Amino acid sequence: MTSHRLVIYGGGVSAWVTAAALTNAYTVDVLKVVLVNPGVNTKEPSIADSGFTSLRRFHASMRISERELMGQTSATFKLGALYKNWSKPGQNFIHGFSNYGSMLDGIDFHQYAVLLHQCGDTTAFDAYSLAAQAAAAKKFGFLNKDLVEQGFNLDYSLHVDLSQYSQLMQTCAVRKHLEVICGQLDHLNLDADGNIKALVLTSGEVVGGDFFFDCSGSDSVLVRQLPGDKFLKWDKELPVNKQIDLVGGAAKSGLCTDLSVCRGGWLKSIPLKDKTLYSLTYNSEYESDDAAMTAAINFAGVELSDAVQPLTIVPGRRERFWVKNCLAIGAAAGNFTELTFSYLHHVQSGVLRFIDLYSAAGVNDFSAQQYNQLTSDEYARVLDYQQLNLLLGAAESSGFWSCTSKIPRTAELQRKLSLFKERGKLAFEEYETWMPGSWVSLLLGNNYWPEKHDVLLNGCNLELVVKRLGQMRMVNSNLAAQLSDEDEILGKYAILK
Amino acid sequence: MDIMSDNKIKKIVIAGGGTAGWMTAAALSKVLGCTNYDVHLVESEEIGTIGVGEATIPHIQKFNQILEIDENEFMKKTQATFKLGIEFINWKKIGQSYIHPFGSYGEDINAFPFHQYWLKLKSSGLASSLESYSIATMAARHKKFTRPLNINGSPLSDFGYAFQFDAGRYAQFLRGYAEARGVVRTEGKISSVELCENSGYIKSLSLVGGAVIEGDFFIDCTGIRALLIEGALKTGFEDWSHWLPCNSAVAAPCEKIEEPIPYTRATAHTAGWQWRIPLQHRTGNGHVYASQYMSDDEATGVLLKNLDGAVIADPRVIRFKTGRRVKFWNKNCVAIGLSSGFLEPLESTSIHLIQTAISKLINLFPSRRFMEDGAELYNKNTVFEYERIRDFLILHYKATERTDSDFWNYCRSMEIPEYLREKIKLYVSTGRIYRENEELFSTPSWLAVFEGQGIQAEEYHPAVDSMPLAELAERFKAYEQVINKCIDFMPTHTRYIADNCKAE
Repeated sequence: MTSHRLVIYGGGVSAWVTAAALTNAYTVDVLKVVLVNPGVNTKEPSIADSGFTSLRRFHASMRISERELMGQTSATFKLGALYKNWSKPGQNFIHGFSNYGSMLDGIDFHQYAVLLHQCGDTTAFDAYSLAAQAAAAKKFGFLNKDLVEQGFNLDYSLHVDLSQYSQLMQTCAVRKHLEVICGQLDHLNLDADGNIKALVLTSGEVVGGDFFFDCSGSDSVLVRQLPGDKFLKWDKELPVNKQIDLVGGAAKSGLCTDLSVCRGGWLKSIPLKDKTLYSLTYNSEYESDDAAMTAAINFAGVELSDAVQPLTIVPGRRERFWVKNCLAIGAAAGNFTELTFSYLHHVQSGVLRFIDLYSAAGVNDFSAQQYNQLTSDEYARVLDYQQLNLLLGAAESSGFWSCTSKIPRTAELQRKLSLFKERGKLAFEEYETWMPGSWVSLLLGNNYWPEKHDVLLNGCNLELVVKRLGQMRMVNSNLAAQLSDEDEILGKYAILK
Repeated sequence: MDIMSDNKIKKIVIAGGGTAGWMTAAALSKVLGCTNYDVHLVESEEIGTIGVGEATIPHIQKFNQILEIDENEFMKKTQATFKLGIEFINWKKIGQSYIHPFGSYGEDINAFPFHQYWLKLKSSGLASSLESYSIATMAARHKKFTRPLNINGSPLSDFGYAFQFDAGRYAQFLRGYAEARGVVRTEGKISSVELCENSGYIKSLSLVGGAVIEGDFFIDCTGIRALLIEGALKTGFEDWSHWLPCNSAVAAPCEKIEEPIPYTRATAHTAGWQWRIPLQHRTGNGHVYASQYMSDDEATGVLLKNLDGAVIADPRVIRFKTGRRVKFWNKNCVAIGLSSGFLEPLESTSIHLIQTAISKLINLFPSRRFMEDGAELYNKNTVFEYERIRDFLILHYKATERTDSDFWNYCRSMEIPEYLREKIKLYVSTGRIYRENEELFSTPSWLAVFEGQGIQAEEYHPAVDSMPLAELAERFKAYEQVINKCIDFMPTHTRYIADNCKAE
């Protein structure tokens, strides 16, 4: 059997991650992987990433030591997102990865929280999250087996420096069997069916292959030349068009990605070990570039610099991601906003799905159809999640936020909201990026309360419920207090750099 | 050390059992201890106690805590039920009812009392009845109960409760407690009290049959007879019957005809009022009346006619005079319980007064050398306590629209103490209620009775206007909804007793 030859076009994060994942999954006898690096800046995130928990599974599958990776990518541990002043002025809510409360008598924990809320309870929902309690106390640690068996978890992800992360992926891929060619695309050689036969570079070099990956960022250099390609804009669904990225000094704590509303849109900060990425995403209809720049500079606490200019962003996706024998990965496939988003997850999810569906026997239409369907579904749910964040951002009502209630929603999101509002049930779709518990805690933590509690709770022993919920809160805060100081753990990891 | 122990009081004698005697004995045995002090209690089984069914106020929880009494245990042993307040029927006028709850109305807004906002909403026609904003009242009306729950910001965390129990069993329960901790009980009827010729201090008590009990310090718990403080020490009594003209009570328990409700009922009649105290096994009843307006027979008839179950003991008439002892601590004697004064049980204050007397006594507990040094402070504070409760009781009689009897005509038009007059005036003209020092009844209590008995504020605090009316109405509506939800989820009183403290 002859080995297939896969060609990646791109030199940014998405290209290197794709190369590392492919070379890790297939031996050179099965698939030969070639990367063509155009050596120019790719239009995709390149400073920092705020990962999801899937990031750690990805590293484990690559057999990369987390400790080494953290040392090499200026990483910090991430326990969740801190919504500062998001749904209610002055309210802070930590949306942690780990669970909130635990089931009682076979009924979801959150139903009890709903019940007490209806009785006037003002306890912050994140008092029930170990992750939130730990993050608030700047504590972190790895739970021992006993605790995990008792149902506790302190799931986490990482904040990483993307340029260092790219380097690491490059090293991993090259160490396996990646072949790297430097050169820029001149044109594509297509066969009669429209499949790509080869990339012809400006140097005249012809790089042939059986399958091609477009990792060229939001320019989508390869796929946009293929027949029938179309870009679907989300200008109504995610109505923002500008972003300012600033790099400032290290934050006080690295355990949360911070989000807060501002007039033109929202502010996000990703804390790394040695620096912090501050970004302001906005809609230029509601905020001028100058005003946005001033807001971003105040937020980041840095000096004004001519080197930084607002970037234009175009949220949207390709109608199809896998076209003929070419697959768009990362920004080439779709652009979400930087709101509760991990670019690494976006890229890795695409590559892993390819590996799942790719048949070494050859490319077939079934694989492409399946890939496109699943990815469309996944994107739709991510879009729902980002929209929900916008809907919850009620701490500000002027500027950009005056328009968020008019954002068109998918039927799935509408159903989710209605069902939840009515009786605290979460409609869970296939191929969701966020688990039901994450949706529920996002909603409740941001004061989106159901009108009714679960009927299963009728006749429950209120005194007992209050006692057990009180115990849960106490156990969380006691457990959080026993964890190590964040600085201490990160310090140990730094030695390995 | 020697000076200290020489001067220390060695023997404390409590004259009289009953609720006052045994509460005192139990508290002293716990707090002072019987290794340092000999605590003796003399009582006679021949002499009955006044308590029939006793209703309390939330402060009793504190007493239980100090004594480390398990609430459920004590409730089981005394056939106790929970109490969320008192329902007053026919006081403002016949057919009208309100509840004086243990707990507040609503929650303060911007540091201003809830009722100021309520007054405004009411004047705009947007407020519900005052009682819809009181979780204790709403729970009582729905016969529901739970102990307050630790839920931040919820009305469920913010109300009080007390108990209704069989006073005889309570005394028995405390007797067991006190004896287990070393209190020595002597059975016997006191025949005389001997004084020291020089100091005038009480030296000893002689019992029928010749026994003599000497002591350093004496506590008079002999009830209305006040054998020590009045009989021996001739302390004197200040009569308040011109303000509170009831001077008799006829009491009789009856069978329970329904599951006990979590509140006491006080129903006004033509010359007084009737209590109804639901216990686990039976219902305590009594008719308090003014004998100058109604005969004993008539009063007994009214009581029997208004029982909801079959009477289970012969009605017993008790005479009293409302007022207070001129001094509560005189020489080496402190009067605790009815020997210290009498205030009718309209607001269930008898046990509370026993409790505060005990706690003041413990705080100011004397030595042999400085026997009376704490007396002045003790007496001053007790006078204050008595007078403030007295004024609150007078309000119930004064604030009425009833014109159906000479009794009510007298009460409606009688002169009242200046403190009460000023308090009413302030509320009517400004809606404000001031609590003086540590007076027992606080703002919600006064509000409940003012509004329940037809005293209405003509204005509200101007600061209230800073909140838009629509927002205010919205907040009140939300609060009312929260209360309704809380009530939905509270267990019934019956269920709660069954789960926690059902008498065996």
